Amino acid sequence: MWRATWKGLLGHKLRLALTALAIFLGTSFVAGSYVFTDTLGGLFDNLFSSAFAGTDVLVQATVDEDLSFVQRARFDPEVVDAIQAVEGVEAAEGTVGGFANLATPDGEVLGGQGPPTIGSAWIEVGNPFELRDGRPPAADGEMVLDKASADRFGLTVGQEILVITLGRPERFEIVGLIGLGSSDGFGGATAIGVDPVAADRIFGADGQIDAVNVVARDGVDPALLAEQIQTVLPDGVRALDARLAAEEQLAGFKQALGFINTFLLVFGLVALFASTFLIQNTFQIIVTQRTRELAMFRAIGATRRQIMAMVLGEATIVAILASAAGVGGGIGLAEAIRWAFERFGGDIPSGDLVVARRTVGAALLTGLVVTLVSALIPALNASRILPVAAMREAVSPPRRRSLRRRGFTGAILAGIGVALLFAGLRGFRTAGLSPVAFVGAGAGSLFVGIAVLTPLFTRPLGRTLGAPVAAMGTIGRLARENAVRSPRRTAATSSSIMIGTALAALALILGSSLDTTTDALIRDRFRSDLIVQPGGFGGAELSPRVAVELAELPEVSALVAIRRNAAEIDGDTEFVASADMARLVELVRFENRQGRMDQITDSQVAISTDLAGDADVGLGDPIVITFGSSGDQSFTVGAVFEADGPGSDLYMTPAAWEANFVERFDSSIFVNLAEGVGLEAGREALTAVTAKYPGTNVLDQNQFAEEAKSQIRQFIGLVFALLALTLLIGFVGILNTLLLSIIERTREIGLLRAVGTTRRQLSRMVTWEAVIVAVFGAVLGLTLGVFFGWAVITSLQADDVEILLSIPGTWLAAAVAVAAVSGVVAAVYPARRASRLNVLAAIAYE
Amino acid sequence: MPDIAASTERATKIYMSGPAEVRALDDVTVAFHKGRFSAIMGPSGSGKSTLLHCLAGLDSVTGGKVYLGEQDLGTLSDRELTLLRRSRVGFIFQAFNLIPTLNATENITLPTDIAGRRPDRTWFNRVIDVLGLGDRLTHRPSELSGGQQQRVAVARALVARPDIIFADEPSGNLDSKSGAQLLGFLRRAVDDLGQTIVMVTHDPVAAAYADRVVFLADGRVVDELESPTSDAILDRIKSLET
Ligand SMILES: Nc1ncnc2c1ncn2[C@@H]1O[C@H](COP(=O)(O)OP(=O)(O)OP(=O)(O)O)[C@@H](O)[C@H]1O
Ligand SMILES: [Mg+2]
Repeated sequence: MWRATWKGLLGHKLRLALTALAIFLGTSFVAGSYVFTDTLGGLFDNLFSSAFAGTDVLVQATVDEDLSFVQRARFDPEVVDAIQAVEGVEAAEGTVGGFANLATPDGEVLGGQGPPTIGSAWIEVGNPFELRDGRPPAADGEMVLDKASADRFGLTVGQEILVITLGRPERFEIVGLIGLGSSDGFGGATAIGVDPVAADRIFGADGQIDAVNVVARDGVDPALLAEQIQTVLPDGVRALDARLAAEEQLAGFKQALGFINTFLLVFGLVALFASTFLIQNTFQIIVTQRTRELAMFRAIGATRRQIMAMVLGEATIVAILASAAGVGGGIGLAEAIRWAFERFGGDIPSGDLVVARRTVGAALLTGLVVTLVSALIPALNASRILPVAAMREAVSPPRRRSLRRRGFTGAILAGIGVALLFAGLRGFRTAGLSPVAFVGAGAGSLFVGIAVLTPLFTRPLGRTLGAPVAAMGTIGRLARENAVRSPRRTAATSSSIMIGTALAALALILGSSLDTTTDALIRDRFRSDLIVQPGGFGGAELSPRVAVELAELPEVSALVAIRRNAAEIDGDTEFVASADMARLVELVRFENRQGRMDQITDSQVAISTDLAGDADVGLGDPIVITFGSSGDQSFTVGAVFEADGPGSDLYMTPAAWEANFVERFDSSIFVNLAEGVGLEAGREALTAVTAKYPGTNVLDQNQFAEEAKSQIRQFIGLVFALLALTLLIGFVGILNTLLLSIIERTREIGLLRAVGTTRRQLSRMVTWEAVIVAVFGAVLGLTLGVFFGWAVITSLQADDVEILLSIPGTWLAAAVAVAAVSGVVAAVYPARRASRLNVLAAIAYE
Repeated sequence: MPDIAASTERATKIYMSGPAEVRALDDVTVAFHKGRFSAIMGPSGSGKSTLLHCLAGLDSVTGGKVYLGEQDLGTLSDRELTLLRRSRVGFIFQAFNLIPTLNATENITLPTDIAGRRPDRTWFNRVIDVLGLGDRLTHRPSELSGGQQQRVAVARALVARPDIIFADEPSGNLDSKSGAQLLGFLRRAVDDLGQTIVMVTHDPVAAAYADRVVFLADGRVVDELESPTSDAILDRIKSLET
């Protein structure tokens, strides 16, 4: 039987190669996502382990695990003396650090577009850095910079740059370049070291310290020493074996990386899902074409089980080969992602890509499972072929399952899908299953349901869509009839395109709706004339000095600076904010529901209706907020306001903020201009101040809206690029089906040629057939996509999220056009094969 | 020779199958006259189909010349040959004559449709009439019997009014009654409609419908018979075998 399996495989090289391509694409994404995160993880493993290279015990304020990215509380430097007195301590030194953005003296921002900008005091004890060039900072005004950043920005020892922290930007001279372990850089982050006096000032430490590095005496166990040191520490400060500390930091970091992993995995799985239709279709067609051969096997005594094993055996071999290639593709993909990251400024330390055993396992397993599941029904059909089929003249059409049963199955699957979808969208969850899982499962079930139902309406819908083609003449009519000739095949082929188009349409609708909503919201809420924001996204923040200096301008009548950071409420990480509340309501429109936002006290918070619903609290109720550095703190709800989409869900007073966050940066400043000051004059005045703080932008209402929308668009663009993959699989599906159909219709094509059809006419026929199938899939996908879009948006609206449904007609039409064009391209090779067909061989009678 | 519809001049066709060469046609010189019904007979592998394909411009000879009317087929490109088949040649194969997605009418008008021409209505009706297909025109091939399918194929060959029709064992797949009926139609097409038909057959009874029989063996023309009867043909075959 294995011999037959191999023969079967070799006999269908081309079609199986195309099936393999689909498996390959999907597994590539699965493998790529793991390779990328493992590689980054490995690189950061190295960095983190060398980050505490010289230190045995690290003393830091405790921090909530889930909020490990929040800056830790500072503590009194007297602790250092107490630590030094502990038995077994060789040396101990306090250190302070924080975010430090960099710019050239003319204000050009260096780095910081995403990767962090780290600064710290240059100390003696447990300093992990190695000097690569120059000397250490010896006085205020001197600094060292990591060599990778220096190389990237073309900086050398002796040059001066601006360091922007909490105060005014300051000039520092680069006196040395540093590295960490074997690496010159920190994954795109910039790292500087300044002398302790400067550090205390620029990081606003006010004499306090962030951490103490402790070196143990020879032969002293760090873990035991940490326990010893703990006894002399005040509450909220903890001594930890430095290696453990490194691992803890790493864990937090890897969690952040996990997002990328999940993101890529989702696309890999969508691609594989789309592939199942393609794989199933290919095997089914091969089985149909081999009906007589398989019947012969049955006639000479092969059992059903053996026939099934033969088909599944073929599938297994294809799956393993394709998935193995997928691992290779994944490595390529990871390399491509790394390249993309580098292009956007995130210098990722070069190093070998990590291909873990788990990666190979995951890729092979998903490839295998998807392929076998897809091949199951064709294999079953193959096993049901009766031996008498061998004697029959023509290939018998596949047994028609009753339409009623098909309609029933499809409708049930689609129904379950819709139910799950809405359950998920309405935030329903059970143990271990998030709403997102419900939405995913619902969408999947709906897709399968529609795919099952599609053959029922392939003929009428396909003929309608193909009407303009058929109107062009005989060639067009032949193309249209060929397109709907085998409804099941057409349905399966168009399914991948349907999935791709549906998701693309969803992305387009969400993007367009967000755009429209952003415009409306900003027009509605934006009461101030101008807003000052850090440029770029992530990493950068505003020095609190900016607001102070802007307030002094005569052109400014009022301003409010808003700080944002993360805290945990009711088990979820939420963005909380702080501002002068009276000013806030003056410059940003909020709709008060209960209480008054502008009158909350330092022990009260104002929360959005969203959060009130999620955490199930109302006016006057207590609410516990877990802060990274100060732990659990209880507040009472002093006001409830209408949720405002992009803003924060919780506001507190500046005093409450300062008691619970170490960070003093501002996230944005809303500014109202004095009477009689024009927008342009005001902008000029503000820009004169912000120019001193590189990386600070002054925006008016329109620019702010554009800024907000450009970020949405970037995200949609990314989603789109990845969806192109699904379309690619749809494309391969069309190519595959066309090739198979052409092989099946060899005789017919020969006849057409014999009676005078030119090669060009044949090409046209095949191309139009592809276009009809592609457009068929795209139209189904579009319909589903619009439904998804509508479902998501209305669910959000039901959840009190202010969002307007907007359906971008032109873009959706463009999506159909793209599908049509992909059909044309997919038809190039099959059309060529059809037109090159040897007429004599085609009409030869058996 | 204005009344010659198709002819070969010392035509040779050599197939290379592995190391051995097969002479499917070996120095064949033969001519088929207009307005006549000719049959080609011979044992299996004697080159009947090959000769037919070369005459029809579906295949090319290795040596010698093939003419359709006055046109030397050897000088034509693939596209020119296609256009020539479209307008001047009709085909009837043993089976698989029809496009399954097209109905009978569409199959019949396929060559003219492909050429972008309109079929001559009165001629179309006459052909349909002669072949008795009037009530089957909207049926698809799967809804027609084998005999009806072959009649549709004959209609297709006739409606384009080609210079010559080639038929390769057109009755080979039919029972004797439908076969006889079909051959009767071919005969009428020549007698009543003035067509020229060249037909390959194994069956002496079928060949007896023709005006003339050409006998092939091992790629050579070995004999001819004018106005044959099936008995005369059988005799001739026997004498050739010995
Ligand atoms: N493509 C080919 N390659 C090699 N040899 C071929 C090819 N086509 C035909 N032949 C050989 O040429 C010879 C003539 O073949 P042809 O098909 O013309 O015979 P035929 O008289 O039509 O036979 P039949 O009555 O069986 O249909 C045979 O020996 C055949 O094996
Ligand atoms: Mg033959």
